[in-house]
Amino acid sequence: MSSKSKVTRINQAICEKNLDRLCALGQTKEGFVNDGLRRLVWPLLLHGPTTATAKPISRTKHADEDQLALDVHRSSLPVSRNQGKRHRQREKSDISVVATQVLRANPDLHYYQGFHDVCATLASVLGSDPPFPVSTDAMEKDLEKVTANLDLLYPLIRQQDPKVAAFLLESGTPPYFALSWVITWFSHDIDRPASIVRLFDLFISSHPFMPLYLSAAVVMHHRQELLDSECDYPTLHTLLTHSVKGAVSEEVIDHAVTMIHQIPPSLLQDIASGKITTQSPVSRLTSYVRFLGPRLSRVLRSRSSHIFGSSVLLLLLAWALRPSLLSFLVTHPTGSSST
Amino acid sequence: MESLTGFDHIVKLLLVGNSAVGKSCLLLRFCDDAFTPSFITTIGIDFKVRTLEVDGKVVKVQLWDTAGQERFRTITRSYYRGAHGVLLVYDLTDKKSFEDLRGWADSVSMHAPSDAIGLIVGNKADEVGDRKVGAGDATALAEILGMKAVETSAKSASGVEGAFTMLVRDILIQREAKGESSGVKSRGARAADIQLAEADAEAKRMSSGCC
Repeated sequence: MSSKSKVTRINQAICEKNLDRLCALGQTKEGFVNDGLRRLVWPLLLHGPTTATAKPISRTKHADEDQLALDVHRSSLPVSRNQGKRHRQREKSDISVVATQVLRANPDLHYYQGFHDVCATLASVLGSDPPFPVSTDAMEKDLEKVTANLDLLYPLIRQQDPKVAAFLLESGTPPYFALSWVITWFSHDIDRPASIVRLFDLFISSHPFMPLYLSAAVVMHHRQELLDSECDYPTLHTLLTHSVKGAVSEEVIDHAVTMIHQIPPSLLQDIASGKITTQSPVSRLTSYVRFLGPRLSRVLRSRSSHIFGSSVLLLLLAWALRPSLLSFLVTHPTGSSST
Repeated sequence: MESLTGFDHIVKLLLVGNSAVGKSCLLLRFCDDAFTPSFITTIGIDFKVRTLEVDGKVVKVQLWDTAGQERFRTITRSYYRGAHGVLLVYDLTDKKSFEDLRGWADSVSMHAPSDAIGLIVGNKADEVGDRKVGAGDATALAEILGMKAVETSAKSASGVEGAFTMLVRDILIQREAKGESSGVKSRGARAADIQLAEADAEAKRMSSGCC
């Protein structure tokens, strides 16, 4: 598909508010192609078609606002490079507004260093208005969900490339080289703004586990370099943390998209379920719902086109998490939870 | 596994301290002799390496740079294991970063090997006009914690090479005293002269109950 015909198809899907089509287009080569289209598509996918009314913003200051302001002020952000001082100041102001709105709309969430990178990318395309319903698992009270997500990385790689997975495990390298990839959607690590927004096209269009799948694809893309390296932790950690600096190629993105269809997140969790011991079934269920957020209906609609409703939704989730629920029922016969 | 090819010693150092005290800038200066005025946010953990010659010995220094923000500590804590030395960094223009050093020292005593050597580093020594922590305060704290204290400026490079070299030298002296050779094999009993003031650490543990 040429860029021109893709632009036409994106415009058509925007007119029809066809979110499934837009998601499919965001996952293929070049994503949403240019920032003009992104300005139209991202709000649609972030808010959903019917979410016209944004969550009211509190006037009460969020506890983490001072830290946020400090980080934004002193940051050198990828979107700011090669641009004038005045432009940079305006961008920093936009980033502060975006991040502050998210925090004030969600007083129970926490700011983490790296979230300003995410907001920087959003603000670079959308400006500071309207507010964005964006939150990540790294904004929970601790990073338990993030580390549980990262614990799925090696099981995922093992499904596709057992030799690379075994090599990483043998070296004792924990999957923390991918921490900033996952919690900042690669925006902390990649230098090229064009590559970052392309990845945001992918993530906004995909299951919330997509950053994990892309991380796996990046690792496998560097297969030969890894296997040729010394099998020790510092060497491999350094190699991998620097591996995405320039950009992530369309080939790697395509691999991640293929992988998430071959091994869907629910299947991956089943495969690795023996390893996820830190999360109780209840918190996993909550996490799953929250992860999917406003895109849940679309994800489910694409799998079951004629059935809707929250009971069906819960049944599907229960099915996806059935091993955990079974173990939950066995270990919590009264149904109480300690989460 | 680690190889000693070309080196007499391998030394693993960890940098800890509050966010924005200049840990990553110290590493950038020490490893690449460079400085950036921009804030470098470390998310999780970063790693650098430099070869150093100390008293005729070629030492491969592995440096682990940790995120300062509280919410990354569950991850960074796992990196204390296996550290031979820890630089506890504060910003001498930011009093809170100094006051929080005791908490960092508690973390070190709890999670690092018992014979790991700590060094208190007051960074941003070039900003003399904004100084909020006197050198005497740092020295007094260092004595309580059984460590040394130095001041550095990653910006001007002042004191940076000396701080790292001093810590590496102390680690090598400790190894020699214990009859160890390279730092690759496991280390034995703690050295009494460098251990953290345990009673103090214990009291902190009781009061804070975390980290």
